[in-house]
Amino acid sequence: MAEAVYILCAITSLLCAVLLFRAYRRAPSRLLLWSSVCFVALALNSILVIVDRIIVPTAYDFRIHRLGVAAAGLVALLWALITDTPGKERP
Amino acid sequence: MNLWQAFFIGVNVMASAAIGLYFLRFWRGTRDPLFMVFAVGFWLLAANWGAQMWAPGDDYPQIYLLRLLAFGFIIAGIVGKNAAARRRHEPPRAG
Amino acid sequence: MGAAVKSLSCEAVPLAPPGGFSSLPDPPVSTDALSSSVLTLIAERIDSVAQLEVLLFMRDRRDRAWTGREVAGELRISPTWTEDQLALHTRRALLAREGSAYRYSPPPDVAGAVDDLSAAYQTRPVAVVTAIYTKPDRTIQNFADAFRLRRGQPDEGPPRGEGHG
Repeated sequence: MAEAVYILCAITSLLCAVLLFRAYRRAPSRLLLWSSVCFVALALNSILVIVDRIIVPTAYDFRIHRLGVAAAGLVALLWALITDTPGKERP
Repeated sequence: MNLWQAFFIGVNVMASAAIGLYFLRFWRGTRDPLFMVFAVGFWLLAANWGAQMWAPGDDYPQIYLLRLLAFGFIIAGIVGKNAAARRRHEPPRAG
Repeated sequence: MGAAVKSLSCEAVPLAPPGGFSSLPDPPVSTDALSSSVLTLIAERIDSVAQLEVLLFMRDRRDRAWTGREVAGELRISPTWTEDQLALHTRRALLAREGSAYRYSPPPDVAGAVDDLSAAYQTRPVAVVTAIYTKPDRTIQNFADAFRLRRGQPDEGPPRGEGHG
């Protein structure tokens, strides 16, 4: 059950990443690129959960890698949001 | 759980919540429901990571159901956007 | 440059459903007075007042094709900037290229909206300018548009009630 959820999450994240990257190709912007990267990171996070639970449940704990990958993607997106969106004052 | 795990859980909670706030702001500016969907989705992800402070792993249904809800929202948002787009293009456009 | 600002006459008569277009707090004037087709046109194809002026210039003189240099001479603005704006309007299907010149030639459904916009710019210039400068940033709109699985026309923006089309 849990595995199915994480597979679904991984697929959804990848779908978002693909859509956003496609839009980035059409109209490049920092926000589009890094949101795409963030969703890839979230997909990796979900995949690593599955690896951690099923493939190598006892040999190695992937906890820190899962969290780290997600953190990298999220922080990158947050940075893009902070630097790429204008404030209320417009040109 | 060691300190590093707790640190990164904190980073993820904070970043997800902040990203959600940005999407909320975009929703206020555009009124596009997709942004509200993403805002809620990222806040649910923040809750998903926050909940891991009290759980040794993702074995607890509460954890992965939060994640399921988050991505369920996102899927619903994408579907909704395309359904709305199709609805808008069908009636004859005047002017 | 361009048209003198006419004096603002009567109070805004809403032609679009209330709630309007921009939800940002405290715009100078409500954009409710503008029809939804005008607001859509601004959202999709107009980024600045100067750009609008160039477009309206081309529309008023659609009997012939104009080069960037000629338009810049008429409007007393930079030729390079004018050339860029004409190319941008062409990419957005408002102008057609004829050799090195451009001519006003929008698709029929857009032409009506441009006519409405021209009229609105005469009677409610501040509302038009407000709409231009409070429209959501293109970057953000591109994010929302990215999730349209079907490629095609630019997104019309958030769903609005049926009003003047």
